[in-house]
Amino acid sequence: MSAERPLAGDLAREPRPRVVQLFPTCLVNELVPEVGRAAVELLERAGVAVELPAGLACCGQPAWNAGFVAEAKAVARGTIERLAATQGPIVVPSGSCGDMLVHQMLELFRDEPRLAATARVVASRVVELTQFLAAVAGTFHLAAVPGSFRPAVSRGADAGVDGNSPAPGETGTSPPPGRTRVAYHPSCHLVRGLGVGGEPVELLRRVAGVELVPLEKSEECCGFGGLFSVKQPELSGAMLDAKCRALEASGADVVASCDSGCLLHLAGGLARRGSSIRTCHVAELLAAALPSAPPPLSQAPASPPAAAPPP
Amino acid sequence: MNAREEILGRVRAALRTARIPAEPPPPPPSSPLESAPSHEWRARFAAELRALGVALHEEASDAAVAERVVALIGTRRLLAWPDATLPPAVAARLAQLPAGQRLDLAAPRAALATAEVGLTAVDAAIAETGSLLLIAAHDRPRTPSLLPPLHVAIVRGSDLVPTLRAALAKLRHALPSAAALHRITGPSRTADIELQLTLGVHGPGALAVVLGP
Amino acid sequence: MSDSLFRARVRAALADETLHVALGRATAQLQARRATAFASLQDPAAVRARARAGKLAALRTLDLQLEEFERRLVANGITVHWARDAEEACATIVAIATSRGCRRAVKGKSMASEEIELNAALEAAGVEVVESDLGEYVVQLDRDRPSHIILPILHRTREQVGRIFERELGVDWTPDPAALARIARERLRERFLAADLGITGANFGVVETGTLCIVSNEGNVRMSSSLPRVHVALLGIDKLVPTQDDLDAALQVLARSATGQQSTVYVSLVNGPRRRADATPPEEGPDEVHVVLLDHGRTRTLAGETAEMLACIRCGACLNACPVFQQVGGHAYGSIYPGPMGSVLTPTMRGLADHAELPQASSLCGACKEACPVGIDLPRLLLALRRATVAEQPIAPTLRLALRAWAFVMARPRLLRLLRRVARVVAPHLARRGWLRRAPGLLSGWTAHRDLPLPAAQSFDEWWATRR
Repeated sequence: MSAERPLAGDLAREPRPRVVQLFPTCLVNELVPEVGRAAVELLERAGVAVELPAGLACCGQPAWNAGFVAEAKAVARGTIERLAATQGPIVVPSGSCGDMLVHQMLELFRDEPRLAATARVVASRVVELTQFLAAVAGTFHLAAVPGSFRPAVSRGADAGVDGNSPAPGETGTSPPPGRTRVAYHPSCHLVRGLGVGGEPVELLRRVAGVELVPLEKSEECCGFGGLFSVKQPELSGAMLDAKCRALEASGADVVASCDSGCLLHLAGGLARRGSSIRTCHVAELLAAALPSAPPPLSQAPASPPAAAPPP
Repeated sequence: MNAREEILGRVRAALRTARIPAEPPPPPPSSPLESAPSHEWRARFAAELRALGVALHEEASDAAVAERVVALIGTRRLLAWPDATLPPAVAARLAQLPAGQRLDLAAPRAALATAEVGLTAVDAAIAETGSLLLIAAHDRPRTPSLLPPLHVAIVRGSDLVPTLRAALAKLRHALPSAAALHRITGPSRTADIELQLTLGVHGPGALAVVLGP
Repeated sequence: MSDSLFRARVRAALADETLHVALGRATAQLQARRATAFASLQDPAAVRARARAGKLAALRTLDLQLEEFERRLVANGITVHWARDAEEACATIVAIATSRGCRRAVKGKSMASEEIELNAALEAAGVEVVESDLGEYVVQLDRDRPSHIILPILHRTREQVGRIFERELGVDWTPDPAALARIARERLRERFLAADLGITGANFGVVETGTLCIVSNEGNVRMSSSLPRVHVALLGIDKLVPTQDDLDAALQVLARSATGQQSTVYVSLVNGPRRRADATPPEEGPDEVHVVLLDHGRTRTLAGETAEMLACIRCGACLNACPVFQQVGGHAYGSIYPGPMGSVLTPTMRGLADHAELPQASSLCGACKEACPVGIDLPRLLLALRRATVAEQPIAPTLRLALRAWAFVMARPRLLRLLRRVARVVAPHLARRGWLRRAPGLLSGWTAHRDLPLPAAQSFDEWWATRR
């Protein structure tokens, strides 16, 4: 069922793609646009032009995962047709939506040859954001994440109404300036669906001021699962509690992930527990670490740790 | 319609819609041990037995094997394979045991169950997993390796094979006519209560291997 | 099983702190052992691929494989019976027992026999049955149900097992697993020696040789298939592997996946009854071996999308890996096949109408597929059952309506933009510090456990438009 997909390594080879299409996903577009803005900033700093295909909304995954085929098709058809009309890699800041585009679409349109062919073409072009960034890692600098870094997803959890001032009582647990303890949550569809394991971690390691802390049972599901969280609230809530406990035990200030669905789920659960741990998309952390004045590309490190640049 | 015909009919009907992924054939079975020299089999066998908690006694001659076997039996009641299926030196040595220590295989089962040591040879020994293979036949009774709390198995150097596949190949002529074949890998065990390893639930709680030349 | 029953069992399981601790510890240990055991293989992926290929090959031509298997069994001196359903299987085995005057049966662990509730049928016919696997013995003494297909009393602490022995066997209470195992050994030894009927399942049926393969760690299966004069093996029609090589691969992954062993202690390859009853002394082993081939809904699983599920070798790895199983254990599933594999097997074998909730009990995280030694794509199968549920079963009208409305909006980006503006006006009145603590309708399931974020003040596409 796996389509012919470009290996992440191919992206690092010359000629590098000059233009990429960004599929922001509905969650990012409506709820956490900061993630989309961070993705654009990172991609542009990596020397590629970003295009936003018109009329995109959702990949259809919520309906597909709930078994509603007609509804899923109604939403997915437009998405793959609009994506198919563009050129170049399709960058997705989500493992889950990425897996929907890469694997599930082929299953969804299995009985419709024309759309199945379209889905296959789209699937072959899809690349998850950190997978892309890791592959072209030689093209941009990451400096330090500022000590005042406040991830946006948690605007309600740690902020007053204005979204900036720290919540009362939180000062005591604030990390020292310039050092942020980050627990990475490898989301299920990113790791097991797309097979993206080390890339986000490699990128985070390049950021000064980020201290990656180990997370017990890190590859275990946080309990989000789309509509699962709504239809099986007890089960999902119990899994969420387990994940929140592990996060609290890790000593992390921030939990970072590549999936906004998991992050909203975690942020909601952490907020409900009164935890001071904040959530943020890996892209936000990386974008915060971009030097304010980018050095010219010729000064880019000769052999970055993530991917060897082409000769 | 009888059950057989109906079930086969249902299977055929189901197969018309069954979605069974078509996939490329898997790589052929291979084990590095199969191409390794036989002294490596011996080393591997010994290492696996140690890991399983099996007492291994390596002996350099048939006579030493017989002495070791008798020492392991001591004065305990013995349930052994018939002489014809044991190494001659062992059979000869067993003949010197005090009368009554070796149980008569024709005795009632309740009597056999009182045995304290079971003694068998093996039909093959698998190096890769430290396993013993015993064919069940009239001259290879099942109870000696099953009922007593200690099972002593005599393995000759020529019994050693690298893998289960090699063992089945070696025994291919004997197998079809045998009622059963048993593979034994270590002492009887359970972890049913809180995953706590406990030896000797129903089968022998201790296994000793006397490995000859 | 109605939805409310399932949800009630889930709630009860979640409230049981002892169960929770026991499950967490056991599943973590089992997963670690499995990982270590696979690491000892030179090429784990290749062995898994061989095991999978063997099972799928048997399924592709299952009708022919069954016919050939039957021919080989008969040639080996085994009597073959076919059973369409539980009732027929029970009646067949009861008839074998009563026609041969068998009164005392010992049983090896067999999930198929649990499935057809064989013990009750035998006892009703005056045949005494005793479970001989330690875990199953405890289950039988306690009139309980197994909660895990490999470890039947995963839900019990050692103290609880001690109480059950004290109450049912009249022994002094002890929480020591070794002492408890000794007590079971003594009690069951008498039963083995006296039994005239041995009942087992089978892990595999090897078509090319007409051989039953039965594994155990305790030795109870060897006892059950060797000591009584009649041996009955009950196996689902999905248990076949074409060749001995396929068996080899399957055995390699089964023990590793189930208990983290390279090999189970005992592997019995049964070719038939004893050959030389006339020898002196007579050959040991049963006079008769019977095989009961059971459908009981397996052909329903085989039809359509879920066929791959019949490649399952019942190792339990998907249970241990499943975060839902880790939270609630096996009993919550209301079926003897719990966890991800059960959530596919039970609704397909027993009917979706009564078990529609099971395929929903998964976050589709994929841990089961990753753990499965024969690579069954469990999330795909669960999705197929969810589709079947929407197509064939009554669905909560609110859910259907919500999904339709959602799809209508998502397929119309302009409408989405309009609604977004409405939400921006309404939602802040319901929120506190940017989060909703209680949402209406479907979303109340979310806000029961977490807060809900408000739509962003400026969406990404709005920002993109200003940027240009």
